[in-house]
Amino acid sequence: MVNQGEITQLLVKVNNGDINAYNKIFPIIYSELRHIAHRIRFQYFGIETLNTTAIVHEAYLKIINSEADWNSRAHFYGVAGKAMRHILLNAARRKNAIKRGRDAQHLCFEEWEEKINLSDECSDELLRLDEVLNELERKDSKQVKIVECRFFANMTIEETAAVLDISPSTVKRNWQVIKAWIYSQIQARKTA
Amino acid sequence: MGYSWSELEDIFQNALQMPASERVNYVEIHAKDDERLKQTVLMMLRDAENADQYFDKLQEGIADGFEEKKEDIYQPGDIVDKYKIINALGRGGMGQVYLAERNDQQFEQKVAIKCFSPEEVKQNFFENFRNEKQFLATLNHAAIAHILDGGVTDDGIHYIIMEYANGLPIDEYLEKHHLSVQEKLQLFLKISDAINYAHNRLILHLDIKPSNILVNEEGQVKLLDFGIAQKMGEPLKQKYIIASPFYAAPEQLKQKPVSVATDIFQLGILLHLILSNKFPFDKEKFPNDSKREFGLEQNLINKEFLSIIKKCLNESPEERYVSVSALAQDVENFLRSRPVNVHSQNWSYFAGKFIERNKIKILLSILLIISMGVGIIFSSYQANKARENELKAIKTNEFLLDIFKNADPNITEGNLTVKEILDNSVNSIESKFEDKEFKLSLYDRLINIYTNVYLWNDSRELAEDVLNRYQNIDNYSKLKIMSTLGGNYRELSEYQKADSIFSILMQRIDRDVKELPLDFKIENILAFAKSQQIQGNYDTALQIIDRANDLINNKTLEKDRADIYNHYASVYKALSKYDSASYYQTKAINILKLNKSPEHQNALAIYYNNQGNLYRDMAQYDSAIASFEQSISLKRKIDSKANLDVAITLSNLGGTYYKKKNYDSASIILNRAIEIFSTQLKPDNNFIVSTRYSLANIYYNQLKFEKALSEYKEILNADTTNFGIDHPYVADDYISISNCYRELEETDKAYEYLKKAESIIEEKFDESHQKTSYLYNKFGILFEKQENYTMAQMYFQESYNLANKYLGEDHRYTQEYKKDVERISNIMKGDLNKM
Repeated sequence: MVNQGEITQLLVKVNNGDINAYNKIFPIIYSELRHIAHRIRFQYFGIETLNTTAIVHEAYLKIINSEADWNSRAHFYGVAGKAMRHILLNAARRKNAIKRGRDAQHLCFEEWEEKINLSDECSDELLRLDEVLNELERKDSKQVKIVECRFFANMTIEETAAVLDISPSTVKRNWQVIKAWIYSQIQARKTA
Repeated sequence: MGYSWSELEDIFQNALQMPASERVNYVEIHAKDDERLKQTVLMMLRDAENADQYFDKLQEGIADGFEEKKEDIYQPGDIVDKYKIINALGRGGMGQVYLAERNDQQFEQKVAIKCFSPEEVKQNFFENFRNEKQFLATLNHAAIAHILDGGVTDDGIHYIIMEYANGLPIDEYLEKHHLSVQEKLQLFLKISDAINYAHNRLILHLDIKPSNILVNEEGQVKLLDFGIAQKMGEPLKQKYIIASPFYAAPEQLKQKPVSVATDIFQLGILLHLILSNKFPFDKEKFPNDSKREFGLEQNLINKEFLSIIKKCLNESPEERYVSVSALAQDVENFLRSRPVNVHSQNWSYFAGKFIERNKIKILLSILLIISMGVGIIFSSYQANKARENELKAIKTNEFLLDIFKNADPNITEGNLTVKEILDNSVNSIESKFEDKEFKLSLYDRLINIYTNVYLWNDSRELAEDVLNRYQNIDNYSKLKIMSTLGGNYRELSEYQKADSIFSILMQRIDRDVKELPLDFKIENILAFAKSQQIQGNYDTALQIIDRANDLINNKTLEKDRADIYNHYASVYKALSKYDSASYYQTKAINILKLNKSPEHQNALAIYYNNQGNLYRDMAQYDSAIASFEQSISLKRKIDSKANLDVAITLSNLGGTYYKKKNYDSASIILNRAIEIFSTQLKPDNNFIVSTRYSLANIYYNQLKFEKALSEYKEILNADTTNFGIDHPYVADDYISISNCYRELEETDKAYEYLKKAESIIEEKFDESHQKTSYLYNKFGILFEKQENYTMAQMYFQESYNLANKYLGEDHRYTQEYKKDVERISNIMKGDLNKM
C-alpha cells in the first residue's frame, strides 16, 4: 500500500502531467471508489441520495484524509472524476451487454460493477455520453477534464479551476458551453 | 474534422450575449459556410436550459443505480421467534422492518421486527449483537420504542423485536395537524426528554431525524432506532459513522468521535425543521459543498429561538449546549416567557468555555490578584485591611478554583498546557513575593488547583516541597495544605503517609478547638476516618466519626452533617450492619435532597451512589439500580462529560447487573467504566482494580475459569501493593483464586489459597462476620469436590450455624448454606445405603 505522503506527491505529479504517476495512482483510487461504493450501500445510515459525490468524498477521506491541504484535495478529485467515469461506463456496458443477450461474464467486469443497477435508460445515456466525450476528447481534451471534474467528481467551480490551473470564471464559461454542446450532440444522435 | 472548439466557443458565447432575435443572424454570418457548426451552435442556443436538466437527470439516474435493491427477507406469514409476519413496514434506516403479531395466540400483541441479512450484519460489525440488544433493552421510557427481545435465526438473520409504534413521522404529522408554536415546542420537549433519559444511560441516538420520530393521534411521541447507530456501528472510539448527511453533525461527517453534543446538533436541525418546516441550510448545495452554510429562517422563527438553534448547530461540539437538559431548559424558559440563557449557561458550561478560551488570561488574573493583594499589604501595613483583602482574594480564587475544576490538564493554549501554566505560577510565587505567610496561602490554592485538575502527583510534590521549606511557619494555610496532601496520599493509595498527616491534623484540631473553622475540622476528621476504614480498621473509623459527630451543633452546615451520616453509613455497611447503614444513608440523602446548589447536588449524587451499593449488598438489586441511575443522572446534570465520578457509579451499576446475573449488560457497563477510568488513572488504581474484579467474577460465572484466574491473580498483586498482604480485599482475592483452581480440578492449590484467606479472615474478623461463614462454605464445597464428604459436611454445618446465628434464618446466604447442608447429608445417606 502506498502511504499518504506518496499519494499526495503522486497527485502533484499527475497534476503536472506525469503520465507514470497517473498510471500509478489511478488504480488505487479506482479500486477504492469501487470498494467504497460497494460498502456504502450496506452502511447502516442509508445516505438518502447515494451519488457520486458521496462516494468520491468517502474515498477521499479514506485515501487522503480530511486534514490534507486544499490543493491535494482538488488533485485527488481530478483523478477520481476519471475513475468514476470508468466505473460508470463499465456498469453501463455490462447492462447493455445483458440487454442485448450477450454474455456479460465474458466481458469480465469487476464484482462491484455488476452491482450498480443502472436503468436501461440511464445506461444508454451513459454510453452515448461516453461517445460524445470521446469526440470532445479529439476536439479539445482539456474540456473533457472539466466534465470529469464537474460531472463525475461533482467538484465545485473553484476546485475544478484549481485542478486544471485555470481561472474559475473560465471554468464557469467553458462548462456552460460544454453542457450545451454535449446536449446538442446527444440530441443529434438520438434523432439520427 | 470540421470546426474547432475555440471557433464554436467564440460564436456560442458571443451569440449568447445578444438579444434572442439577433442570434440566428449572428451565427449564420460567423459560422460562414460550415453548416455543421452553424446547426450545432443554433441547437445549443435553443436548448441551453434543457442541457442543465439533462445532466441533473443523469445524476439522478446514476444515484438510483447505486441504490440497493433489497430483497425482502421475510414474506407475510413467515414465523420469526414467537411472531408471525403480517407485512413489511419499510421505514427506518438500516435493515428491514416488519409488522408482526404473536403466533401463539396467548395474547394479542403487535410488534415491529427489525431484521438484518447476514451480509448486512457482516458489513456493520455486529459482533456483540446479543450484548447490545440487552443493553438497549435497559431503555425504558414512554417515548422510546421499547426493545422486547432479539436474536439470531438459524440462517444467520439477526433480528430485534420492538414495541410497534403507531403514528406518523413527525414531519408528516406536523403537515397534517397545524400546531401552534407552543404545541410544537411541547412536542420537541417530549423528544428531548427521551433523549436526555438515554444520555443518562450513556446511550446516544446519532440518527435523530423525522422518520425516526413517530407521533400518534394522541400526540404521543415514540423514538425509533435508539442507540442502534451507536451500538451497532462500532461505538465510542474512532470508528466512523455516516449518518444521513442532512442531519449529520460536522464531527460525523469528519468521522471524528461522537458525543452527547452530536445528538444536540441533530436536535438543533430538528427544532428548525419543526418550527419552519425547512432545513437550516440550502439542501441543494449540501453535501456538494463540503461545508454547510447555515441560513436560518429569520422570518419564520422567533429571534430568541434562532439563538437556541444556532447554539445547537455550532461547528465545534464544545460550543454547543453541554447537555440536552440545558437545551430543554432554554426551550422551557421560552415557553414560560423567561429570558433564555443561551449566553449564561450553568456553571460547568461557563467554566469549561471560559477555561478553553482564556487559559493564559486566567493565569494573568491569578497573578494580578496576587500582586494587588500584596501591593496593599506592603504599602499600607494595615494588618486588618490586609486580612480583609486577603479574604477577597480568597473568594476570587475560589472562583478560579471552580473554573479549573473541569479543565483537561493536557490541553494546550499558546503552546502551554494548563500544567505548564500552573508550574509557571509556582515559580512566580517564589520569585515575586517575600511574605512567607502570604506565599503559603497562595501555595495552598495552587495545590488545590492541581488536585482539581487531577494532577495528584504534581499536587503532592508541591505540597511536600512547600511543607518542607516552611517548617517553621504554623498557620491555617499550612494546615489546609496538609489536609489536601493527606487526601492525595489516600487517593494515591499511600495510607501510612496519609495516616501520619491526619494524626498531626487531629492533634491540631484537638488543640485549637476554638480557632479552626468547624467545617475544616469535620472535613479532616472524616478524611482520617475514611483512611482508617479503607484499611479495614472499622472500629477505629467509627470512633473517629463519633468525634466529628460530637462537634455537631446548631451552627453545623447541612452538608457537614450529611457528610457525617454518610460516613457512618459507609462503615456500618462495611461491617454488614445494614439496618444502621441504611438508616444513616437515608438520613444523609434527606438532608440534601431539597438543596439545589451544585455543591449539594454533587454530594447528593455520591450519597445515592452509596445507597445503591448498600442496596446491592442487601440483595435489593432493583432498588440499587434505581439509586445508581438517580446518581448518574445528577452527576450528568452537573457535568455532562464522562468523568471519574460517573465511571465510579457505572462500575457499581455494572456490578449490580452482575449480581442480577445479567452478565451481558454488566460487562458492557463495566468495560465502559474501565475505559473512562483508564483515561485518567494509573492501571493499578483501586477504581480500575475493583472494576476488573467484577469483570473477573463475570468470567468466572461464564465458566471461563482460566481467564478469570489470570485476572484474579493480577488483581491480587494490585491489591497487595495497594492495601498490604493482610487486607480483607486480599482475602477475597484468595478465595476467588481458590474457586478457580477448584473448578480447574487443581484442588491442592485451591486448598492452599483458602488457607491463606482463612489466616487473614481469622485475624481481621470474628465469627459473627459474614466472611467467616462464607469462607467455611467454600471449604465445604472444596471438600465435596474432593469427595471428602465428612469434612465437607462439617464445614457446611459450621457455615450454616454461623449464618443462622448472625445473619438470621431468612438471609439468602443462610438459605444457600442450608441447601448445601441438606445436599451433603443426602449424599452421605446414599453412600451409607450403598455400603
